[in-house]
Order: sequence, then C-alpha cells, then structure tokens
Amino acid sequence: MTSLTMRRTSVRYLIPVIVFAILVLLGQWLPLQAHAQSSVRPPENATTAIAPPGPPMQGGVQSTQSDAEIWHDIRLGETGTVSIPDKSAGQMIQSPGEDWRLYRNGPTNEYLGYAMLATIVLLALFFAIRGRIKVEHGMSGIRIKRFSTLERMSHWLMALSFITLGISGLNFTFGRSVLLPVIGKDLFGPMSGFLKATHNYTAFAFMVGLALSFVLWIVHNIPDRTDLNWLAKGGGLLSKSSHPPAKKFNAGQKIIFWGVMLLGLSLSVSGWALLFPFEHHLFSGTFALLGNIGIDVPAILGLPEPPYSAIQEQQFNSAWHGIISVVMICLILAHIYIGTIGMQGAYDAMGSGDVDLNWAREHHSLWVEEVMAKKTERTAPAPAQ
Amino acid sequence: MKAFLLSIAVLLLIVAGARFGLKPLWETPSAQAYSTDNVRLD
Repeated sequence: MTSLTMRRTSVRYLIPVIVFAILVLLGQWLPLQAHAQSSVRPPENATTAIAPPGPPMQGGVQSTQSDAEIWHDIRLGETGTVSIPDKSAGQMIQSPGEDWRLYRNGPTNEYLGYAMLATIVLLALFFAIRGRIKVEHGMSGIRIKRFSTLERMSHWLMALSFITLGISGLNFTFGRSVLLPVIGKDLFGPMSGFLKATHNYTAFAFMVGLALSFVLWIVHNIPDRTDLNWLAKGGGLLSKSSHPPAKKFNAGQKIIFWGVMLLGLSLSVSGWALLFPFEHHLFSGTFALLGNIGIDVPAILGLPEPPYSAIQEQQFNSAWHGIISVVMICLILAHIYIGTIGMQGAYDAMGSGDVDLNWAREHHSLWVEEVMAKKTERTAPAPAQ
Repeated sequence: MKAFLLSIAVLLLIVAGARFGLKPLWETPSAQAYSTDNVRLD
C-alpha cells in the first residue's frame, strides 16, 4: 500500500517535468520557424513577380546576382545616368584617375625633385669653378639709371608672388613625403590648408606682375643679331676678360624673359583651369590642334585618345601645372643666382635701380652707348638758327 | 627699397581683393550647402 502511494506521488511530480521539457523543446523549434518566415529574403518567385516589364535588369532587381560584366564596365569608366544635375556623378569609377595618382606619387616626386636638386648642384659647381663674376675694371662710383620704380615694382610683384606660389606649390607635391614626417599631422594639416588658400589667391598677383612685366619689357626683348654674338661667346660667363656687347637685355636675359613669359602664361592658364574646375577643355583642344599638324601627342606620350572627360582634363592640368612649375623654378634659381651671388653689381639693377657705369659697360655696352647718346642730346645746346 | 615695398603692398591688395571677391564663388555657405530646401524624398 505504501509502495503504491509513493508511485502515485512520483507520477504527480513527473508529469509537470515532462510538460516543461516538451515546452522547452517547442520553444527551441518554434522561433526557428518564425525567424525563417520573417526573413527579408523574398520567396523564390518574388523576383520575377515584381520585375518591371522589358528586358531583365542588369545585376537582378535586388542585386542578388553577381554580374561580372557590369562591374568590368564600371571599372573601365562606364557612365550611367543620374537624376541629379551633375551628370558626371554617373561615373562610379574613373580609371584614368588611378593612372594620374600613380604618376603623381611616382615619377613626379622623383624626377621633378631631382631636376631641382640637379639645378642647385650645377649652380654650386659653376660657382665653385668660375667664382663670382667681378667688374673687371672695378667700380667707377658713377651710377646710371637702369630700371624705373614701376619696372622694379613689377619685377618684385612677380618675384614675390612666384616665391609664395613656389613654396606653397611644392608643399602640394612634396609636403606629404618630405614635411609631414618631420613636423607631424597637427601642424602639417592647418599649414597645408593655409598654403592652399594662399596659393589660390596669390596666383592673381603673379598674373598681374607677369602682364605688367610683359608690357614694360617686350620692346627690349625682341631677339636681334647681337644675341647670336653674345651666345657664341657664352655671354662672357666662361672667360674673365670677355664682354660681348649687349643692349638693355642680353641674350641670356632674353631667354629668361621669354622663358618666364611662356612658362608663366602656361602656368596661369592651367592654374586658371584648376581654380575654376570642369569649365575648360584645354587638352582635348590642344591635342586636336597638334594632331592637325601631324603631332600625335597622346600616341607619343601613351595617353588615352581625346576627347577627355572633365575630370581627365583636371588631371592633365594638375600634371602639366606641376611639370611647368618645376621647369620655371629651375630657370628662376639660375636667374636668382646670377642676379645675386653670381655677379658683382647685378643686384643693384633691381635693388636701387641704379647700376655702376663700369658694370653697365662690361655687360650692356650697347645700352650704355644708347643712354649716353640720349643724355648728350638732352644736354647739348640747341643749334643756332 | 621703395619699389620692393610697393610690390608687397600691391601683392597684398590683389590677394585681399581676390579673397573677398572670389570667396562667395568658391566656398558655399554652410546654410546653403546643408539646406534641405527643395529636397524631395520619394
């Protein structure tokens, strides 16, 4: 009897345990079903059910399919359509941009940097061999006017703006690799921002200085026969007692003048296109023009065929602007050298505007004759009537 | 020296003129850049 009572008690406790176990098992199974039914993944036939009429969309309606061809085309610059005003946004990947980036971070940094270093080394070598070019007959103490205040102001306007542009521009190209590791991000970031703004606004001062200098000096910089003689004698730079005759500007100065004018104009135009982006198509037009006279620039340089997209034009502008800048920096380094430590008495021309008579006779003899003749004309008494 | 100082003055004048003249053209005010006027959300 006692045994039967105990068995009934055990079953009474066992039933809730079994029910609880069943509930736990159901709980484990039911959520899985519920999860499967609430998935965002549509039923198998949903795609065809909601697909728009016409040919099937590329990539599938829900992009569940991998379409290698689409991505291949996009990778190669395929442009789609967008509803926003900027239609260029329809291009997801601009492949030539990668070429530009590789070029900019590779050869630009290397060769342009070497070009500037080579110029400095060559000038240092020349200075070591030739020394300072002195006034052979010594300073006379007599001064003659060489440049007016306006001429010097134009020169310094161009010079100061060019130095500012050069420093800020070099930071764009070399700052990240040269300066950043030295001064750190905290300083490099704000400094680069300031230099970028400075570069953009100073550009206009350079353009004004360039235009003024062109107007003031073009008359004196037209090449003539005396330049050939000057060049044949190396401008007298290589031997101490050689002073080939020259007018107000000798052939070397004329080379500097035309170099600055042409390179400066090219810098101004490409810089303008960078300041006002996507508005100009300089390279498509220039390459087409050169193609008409038989110079296929894209084929020579291994570039894609024109016409170029607006972003490609910007990339060409950026590359061209950098190359021309460095060529001009090299030219100006030589100009600064000869105008300061390279030649005695040369700086006075742009410093005070007056130069020593002996210096002028040695380097610009024809100009001195011209000035003296004019002076004599002015001081001579008028002939008797 | 006079010409040099004059060139600095002219340079600063041009830079300042360009700065004030072109800033509105180059830089969009934040009120305009982040405005939700005429934005249509379908």
